[in-house]
Amino acid sequence: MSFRTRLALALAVLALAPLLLFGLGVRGRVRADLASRYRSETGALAEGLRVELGRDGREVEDRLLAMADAARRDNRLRLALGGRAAGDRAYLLDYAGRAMRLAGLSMLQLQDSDGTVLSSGHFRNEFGRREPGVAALVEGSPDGTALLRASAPSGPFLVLARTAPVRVGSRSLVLVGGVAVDSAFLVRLVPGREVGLRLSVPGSSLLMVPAGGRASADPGGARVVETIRIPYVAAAGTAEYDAGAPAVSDPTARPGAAGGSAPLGAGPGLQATLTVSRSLEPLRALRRGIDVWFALALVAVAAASVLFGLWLAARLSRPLGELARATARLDLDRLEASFPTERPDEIGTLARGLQELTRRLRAGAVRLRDAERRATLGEISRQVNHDVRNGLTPLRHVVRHLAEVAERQPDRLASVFEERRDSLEDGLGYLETLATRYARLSSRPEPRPTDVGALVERTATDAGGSGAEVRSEVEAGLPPALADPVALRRILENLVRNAGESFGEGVGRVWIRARAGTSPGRVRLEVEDDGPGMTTEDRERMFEQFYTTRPEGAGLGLAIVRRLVTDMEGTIEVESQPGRGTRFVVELLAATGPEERPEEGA
Amino acid sequence: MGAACLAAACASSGAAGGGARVGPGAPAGRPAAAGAGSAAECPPATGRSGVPAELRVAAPGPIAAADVPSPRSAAERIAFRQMYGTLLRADCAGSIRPGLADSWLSTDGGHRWTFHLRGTARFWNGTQVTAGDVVWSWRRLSESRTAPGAEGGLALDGRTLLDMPPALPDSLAAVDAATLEVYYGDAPSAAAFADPRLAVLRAGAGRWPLGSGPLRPMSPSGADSGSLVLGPALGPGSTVILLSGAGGPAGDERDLLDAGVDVVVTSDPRTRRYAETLPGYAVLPEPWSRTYALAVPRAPAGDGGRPDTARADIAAAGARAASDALDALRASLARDAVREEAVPAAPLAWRTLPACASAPPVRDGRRGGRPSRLAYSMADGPARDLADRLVALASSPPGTGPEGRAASTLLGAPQGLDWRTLPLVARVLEVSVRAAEESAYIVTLPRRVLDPCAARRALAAALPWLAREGELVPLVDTRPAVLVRDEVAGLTVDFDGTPRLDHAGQRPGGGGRP
Repeated sequence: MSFRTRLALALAVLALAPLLLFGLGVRGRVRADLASRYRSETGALAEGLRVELGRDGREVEDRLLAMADAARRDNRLRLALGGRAAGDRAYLLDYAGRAMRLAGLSMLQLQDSDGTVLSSGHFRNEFGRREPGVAALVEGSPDGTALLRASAPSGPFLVLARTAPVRVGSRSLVLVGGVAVDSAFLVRLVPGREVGLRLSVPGSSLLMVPAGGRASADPGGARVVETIRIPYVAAAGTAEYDAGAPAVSDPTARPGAAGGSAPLGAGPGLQATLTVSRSLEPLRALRRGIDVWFALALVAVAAASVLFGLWLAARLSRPLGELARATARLDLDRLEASFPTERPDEIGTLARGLQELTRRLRAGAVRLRDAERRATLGEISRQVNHDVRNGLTPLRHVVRHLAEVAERQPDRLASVFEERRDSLEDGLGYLETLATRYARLSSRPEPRPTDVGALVERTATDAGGSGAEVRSEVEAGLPPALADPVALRRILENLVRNAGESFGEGVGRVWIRARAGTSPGRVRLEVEDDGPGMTTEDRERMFEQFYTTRPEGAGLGLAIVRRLVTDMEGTIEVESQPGRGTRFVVELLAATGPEERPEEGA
Repeated sequence: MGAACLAAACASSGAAGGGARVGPGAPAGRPAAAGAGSAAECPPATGRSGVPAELRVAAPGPIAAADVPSPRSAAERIAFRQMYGTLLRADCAGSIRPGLADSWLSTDGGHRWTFHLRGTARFWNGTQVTAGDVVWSWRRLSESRTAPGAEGGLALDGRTLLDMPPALPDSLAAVDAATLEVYYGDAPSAAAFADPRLAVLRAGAGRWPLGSGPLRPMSPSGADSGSLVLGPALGPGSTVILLSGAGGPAGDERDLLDAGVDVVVTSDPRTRRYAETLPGYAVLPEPWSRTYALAVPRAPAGDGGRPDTARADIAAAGARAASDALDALRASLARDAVREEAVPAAPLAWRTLPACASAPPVRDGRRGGRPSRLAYSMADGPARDLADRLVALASSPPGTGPEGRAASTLLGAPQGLDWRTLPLVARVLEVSVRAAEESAYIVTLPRRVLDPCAARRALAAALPWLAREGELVPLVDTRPAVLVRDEVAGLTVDFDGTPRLDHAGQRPGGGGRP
């Protein structure tokens, strides 16, 4: 596993672990609180419905009492009840209808003391029907309010009913009235809330209003449930309803199967049940939402951590990798690598250390070459000493013979000199030849302030006509370089020739530039071409001796160039890509001391 | 053999009427011979002498020229009656009188009729009415006849269920300009030719076809218009302003009385009661024109396991109105349940006439099942009241009184069963009745028909199951009210109670509006 991967995973784990712990803890707490609050809200809602129903009942009672008061004062009603005016019978029969509409009720009966309906508002023509005990049962309910099943031409319906006594003349009557309990009534109780209501009465099917107030089928599903009990009175004599009876709210449906079952009694203790239910689905949806956001947060943090880790790893590993690659290219023959950096951090310190190391290696390489040179010079010295001694020995013999003749036979000195003259000249010729040979061995550069601008221009001029267009660019105010002009010329000539040879049979352009170095105290020389460029392998091996890409090449030019540059304590770098040309960059020390007059290139 | 029928001698030919009864609360009627005693139901001609210059008449419903000659509302019935003439006329007593024809001859057992048109019969533009005009009118009617709507019968206020088409001949021909010959496969009576839908027309340049009635339209009229002005067609006479729809911006007919409208036709008991309190207004007694009946497609199952006895009771009640319980029920229904003026129904004479040549025989039948829904026309107030009352009585627990028992017996189910009413629109009710989809129906029938045999055929078509099974029990009779200002003179009514605003030829003067 790479450093980058390990770093990314470590950061991801460090970020996720606390988030996971914290999130799970918070999530659990939130879920528990939500459920508890949900349940208490539903309970409060049910209590609110009880209060609402009680208020509706009291409102009905108020209206009935007002009606009773009006009935007591109605002379025409009194006459009609007494049967004194035949024409007022219609007034009596229509009385409850008028009163019911004025009072805004859905059901109203004016009953005699024995339960005979004298006038009915919701079912005008049910006069004469007897409903004994119904009024008493309603009145006897807790709070005086009961759910009453009333009859209508289109079918029975439920009423939230109250009663009010009324005395007209000598007759004790009772008003039984109320508001319809239907789907609209239930919807009004829970408008728009996420609550379902389910009303069931003994012996009949249900009125239902699911959550949201829209009447539809049985909602089902998990839910929180509260129950409200309401006294229920079924008018004696209304038709029986068995298990298959239609819904109360459907007046057009047929009744259940024929049968001889007794009609529902109006017995005490009957209760209708109003079930308040609240679906747990919204709570579950909320929990799912929390889980989803929690998961999204985890994923986001994980992704961010991984990406950050990868980025951080890249930021760390890339420069290290570059340093490693640059370091890998170092060897004694290739010490021109540089490690430029402006980073203030450890990597910058490492790069500067490597840069310094490379400089010392170059210096060491120079010294080593010097040493080698000196060693070679020592060897040459010994050889010269040997050769010179060898050359001097016969001369010494001739001189000694001549000295002896001069002492002993001075008159034969001339003849003996003539006799030994050839030997003397041979010896001298040998020494002269030896001197000439040894003079050719000296090639060590001798750095001195050199006008690189003039050298560049001369080189460009001399290189013209070689098939490549060579241009020179010299920066104004360029300081002289501390370099051997001969060596420097050789460097430029080799590089220009190398560029020209890269064009092959084609033509191209070469630029030779001289400008200030990238760092103070240095001079920069560039030789750039628009040739085919070099591959990576070529670029890595081009300074090796005898490496060439041309069959006719010797493979020594660039090796010599690098050696010469290194000898002058300079650096050389190459930038090249296939198809995009090549650029050699040589940086040399600038000459210091205004008293040193730079030499022009040889 | 037929008999040439001149005007006065045709008083008893074919006209049908109800029993001799006057006003509400009358005892159950005796069997009524056709045409006898009808005059007792007819109001005398109104008021004082004098012809008003202008007569304002209000009746419910719109007036549209496109409906000529088949009226769809009470207002159209009144308007068309004044504007368009028929070959014969039937007055309130059922007497057949000449109309556009001054003589007629029936031959071939009543299948063939020959009419001679009156020489003075003129259209509004003065041109003579010819036999060719009769041929054209009746063929036009035959080709474009739509259902007569809620006015299928001869009732005044658009509530009749029964659709009785006009007696159109199988063939007709103009022998000459004044002589018409017609042939019927089902021989009609002379009264059939008094059907207002057989009015004689001629295509006119304006919106209204030319008519031969005493009055003609003086202003454009259409279904959107609230009034139609009629003036004397030929010669002097009163101008009649016919106000259609209920009066006043709120649609209250009492506003018309307050505004002094001369004649108001209404079925609203409140309006009638208000008129009775107003000085200067009288209620013109109208014939009882509508019968509400209970139609039960299934034969009643009986009461307490005695189906035959119950059925016999019902049949007897339907035939002779003899059952005390049924009588009491009818009286209660008429007195208390129905909020319009009503009386216990008398038997429908046209159902019990001697068998018609092609009328299907009536046979009693029986089917099982337990009924539970009583359907009625939702636009018909008395029908609603009757349905409610019967349902209330039938749903009451046993032992609540003879009315409850009678109602349960009529409906053919034990008392205490859950009964419900079912209001339906008229068109749906017609279809449902024909198909006997529901357990029972409140149907409305005309008490007075021009052609009993045609009426019985129409009844058989509307209630096809009646011939096989089920019962039709008349319950109550109702009639509209015609409220007339005291000063209005010369107002008579036709056989169906339609007022005749016939001052043609008389110069206005004396009477009229103050």
